[in-house]
Amino acid sequence: MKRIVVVDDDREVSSAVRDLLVPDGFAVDTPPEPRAALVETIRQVPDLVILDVNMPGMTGWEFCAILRRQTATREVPVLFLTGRSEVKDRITAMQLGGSDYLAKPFGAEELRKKVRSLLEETHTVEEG
Amino acid sequence: MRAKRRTDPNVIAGNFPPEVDTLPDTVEELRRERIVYDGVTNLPIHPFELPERADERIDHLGVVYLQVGKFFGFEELFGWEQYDKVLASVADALQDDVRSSRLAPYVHSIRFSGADGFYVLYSLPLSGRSRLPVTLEDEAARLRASIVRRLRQSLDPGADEFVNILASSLTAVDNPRVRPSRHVVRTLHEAVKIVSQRQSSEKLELFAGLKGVIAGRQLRAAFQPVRHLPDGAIMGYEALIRGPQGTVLESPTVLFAVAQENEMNVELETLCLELIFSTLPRAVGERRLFVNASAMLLRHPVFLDARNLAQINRSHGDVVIEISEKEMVRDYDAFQEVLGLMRKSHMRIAIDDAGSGYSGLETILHLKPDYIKVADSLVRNIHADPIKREILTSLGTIGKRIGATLVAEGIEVEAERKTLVDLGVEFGQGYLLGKPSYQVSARATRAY
Repeated sequence: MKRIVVVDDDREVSSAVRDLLVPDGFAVDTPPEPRAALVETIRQVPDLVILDVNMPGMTGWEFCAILRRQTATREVPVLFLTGRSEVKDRITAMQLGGSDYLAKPFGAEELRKKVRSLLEETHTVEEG
Repeated sequence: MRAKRRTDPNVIAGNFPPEVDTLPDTVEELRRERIVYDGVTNLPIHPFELPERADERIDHLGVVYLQVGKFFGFEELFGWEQYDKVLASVADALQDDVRSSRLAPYVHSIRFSGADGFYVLYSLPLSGRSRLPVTLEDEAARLRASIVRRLRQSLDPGADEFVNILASSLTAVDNPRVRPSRHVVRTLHEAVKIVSQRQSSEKLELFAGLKGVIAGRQLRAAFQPVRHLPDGAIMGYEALIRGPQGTVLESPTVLFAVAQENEMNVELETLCLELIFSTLPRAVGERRLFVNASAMLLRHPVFLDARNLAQINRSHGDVVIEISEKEMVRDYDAFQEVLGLMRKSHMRIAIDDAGSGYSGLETILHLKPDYIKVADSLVRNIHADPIKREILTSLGTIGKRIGATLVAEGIEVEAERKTLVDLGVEFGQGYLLGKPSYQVSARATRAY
């Protein structure tokens, strides 16, 4: 079963994402705060990380940059899920090694599509 | 415990470290590691030397300094993605070569300057005790040659000629009266200074070359078709300038970079416009013509002179002036006046290099251009990159809001063209659709 970690300080958002993805057959963890989530993510590498950008204690940008520095998590797909929708934020996401970007508010189907596509891409790379 | 692949700064006397098998346990450690190590090269960044090593004495310090660059900033010209590739490639090559070198037993550490430079530090025997198997100067030359070779293989064609490696080497004997950390830093600065001096003399040669090109009017205009992406019909041409064939100034990128550094842009650009409009092939005259201009030129009285604008208008009735997003001005109000004058002279406006990560969107919204030209860095590999597609979709939304048409630049493969069509981009240019050419046929041939 593919495991997804959703890091968002807004519990409503992370719960909503979990409720959306669990019925699709994914195991979804929603750690309560980014600092603990980071160490945990590096120790137990998931198949996908969904990251909010604005969080107390550590931004999603920094979270992603640290993941990309670690050998274990260098290739893990990261989907940014954020209220920031400006193009310059998308460019930052790209420069920091993000894999995809979804601006809030987003539709359920849109999220499912992006998650599927990111997990399929990793799968193809592994097999290829 | 997972193994970590990285270069450890504790590389002493040739004992290259085994894979480090510890994993940072806390967020503080992870944050510190991110500061100490560069994410692209995986090397320790020099000023952030590990505190426990700051006071280590090196009796006889040897330094080889290697700097990436060729007269001007490669990153500014080709973008951060390409430059990341260059730096990663240099770091890999350097580590391999240093490990296999006859001086490997003396290597102290390899460090990255954080921007363009790499230091190899050696702890050398004090003279008289033993002779080195190879001089540091020869080692610097060998490392340089090997890295240049590796770069040629790994870079995109065309980009490799713009990157070069400059090298210097020197040694310094420790003075017990001087704090060791400062002794090391001063020696490294000295090595950087040697390279800077060499670079300055190369720059002077280029400047002399540019003056010759302008005085002798040794420029030519080439024209690249801009096509309707779904069916390949030619909508217009972009005029591109080339310097004297076979010289380093043939590339417009180099030409303009040298002019900019020597504050000769206005002279160069004025000459470019003169040449473009005086040598227009008939086929180009019948289509829309895209011409590049800097914000500096557009604000210059010589350009804004009513006779000059009328002259351009007489030479070609359908001109689009491209202004790069990279050098966009902040004083929108003053610039609006300039654009007003150009529009009065029936010229249209395009924002060039959109989405390349510079000031960007605010500018586009304020200036309301007729065209948004999407940067080639955003187009490259767009079929395989969801974030790039997201950025392009946003640019499309902005375009619709202000009534601007998107033109994608640098299309090289069919998959890119197809993705752009799917994303609703109407026009494009690039090698797939037609290379720049001095001879333009009147037949509007379809590219695919």
